[in-house]
Amino acid sequence: MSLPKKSKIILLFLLISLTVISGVYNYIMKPPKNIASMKINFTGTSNEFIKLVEESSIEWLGKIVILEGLVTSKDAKGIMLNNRIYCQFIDPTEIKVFQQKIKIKGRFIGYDDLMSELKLDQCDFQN
Amino acid sequence: MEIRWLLRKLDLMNKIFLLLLFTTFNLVSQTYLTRTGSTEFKASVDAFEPIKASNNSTTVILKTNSGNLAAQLFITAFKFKVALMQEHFNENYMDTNEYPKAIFIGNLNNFNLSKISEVKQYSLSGKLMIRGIEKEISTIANVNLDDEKIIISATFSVSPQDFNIKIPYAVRKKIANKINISLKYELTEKK
Repeated sequence: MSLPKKSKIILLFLLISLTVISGVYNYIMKPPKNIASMKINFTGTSNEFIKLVEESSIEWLGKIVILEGLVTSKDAKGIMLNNRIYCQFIDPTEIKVFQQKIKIKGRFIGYDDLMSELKLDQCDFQN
Repeated sequence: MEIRWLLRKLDLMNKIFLLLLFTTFNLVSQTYLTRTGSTEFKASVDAFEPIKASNNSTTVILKTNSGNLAAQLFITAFKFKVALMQEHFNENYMDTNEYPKAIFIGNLNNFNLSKISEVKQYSLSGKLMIRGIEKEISTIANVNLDDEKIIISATFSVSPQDFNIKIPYAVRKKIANKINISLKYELTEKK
């Protein structure tokens, strides 16, 4: 309280600039969005989605989808839906839960020519 | 009597022939693959914010009889620590919407599946295609067989100019001229 007026102003100025700097820094260094907080662009069956991607795969790049389909095979990191869509899981331990018909949420990353498959990453179960 | 015996013998020989053909065919067409291979790159310059990203969704196929190897990854699946960096990478540098993938087609030269119980070095050469531009790549890969998986690791470097990636003057000092790419793929046999 007994600080001279000049010091108070300097202190206030420092405080404000620190807040601004940390705000800007946090904005610049923000980590990529989690898919949980992103807008869902498609909800439907695997077969419907396959059709849409065959029409135009570019349009769906990076889009978040919720798909319902049949698990046709599994590996250590993901599952195959309807023999055509490979879904890579965020948490591979989830894969152990075996259900044939499932609903998953994931991000479409592209059409894989090598395997003739659609590929999703950051998947998790939606049941 | 003798004819019947001859016929039976022929039948047996046929079966053996078919069996042999089938097994050799199986050997010839052995394929190992992964859909979740890891490809990383670093373009950091000392004293600046590290610029690196990893892609854990690389598809890789290896034909074990010939050593032919094909790899494909989606640019959009590269993960950065910082969202802005990821955005700039996709939108300004890689034009991901126009060129969504990178492809490598090449060969592990003189590859021999029976000789990789211990880590062995093979020369890996081929064409890397990014942004529709091809570049010859040649490096050394470490290959070994571990728990029925073929593990391939290698590093090589490219420069942004190779693929006509223009870097604005303002950030030129922060992005290395030599981008180091390292890969680690664990392939399992296709059944």
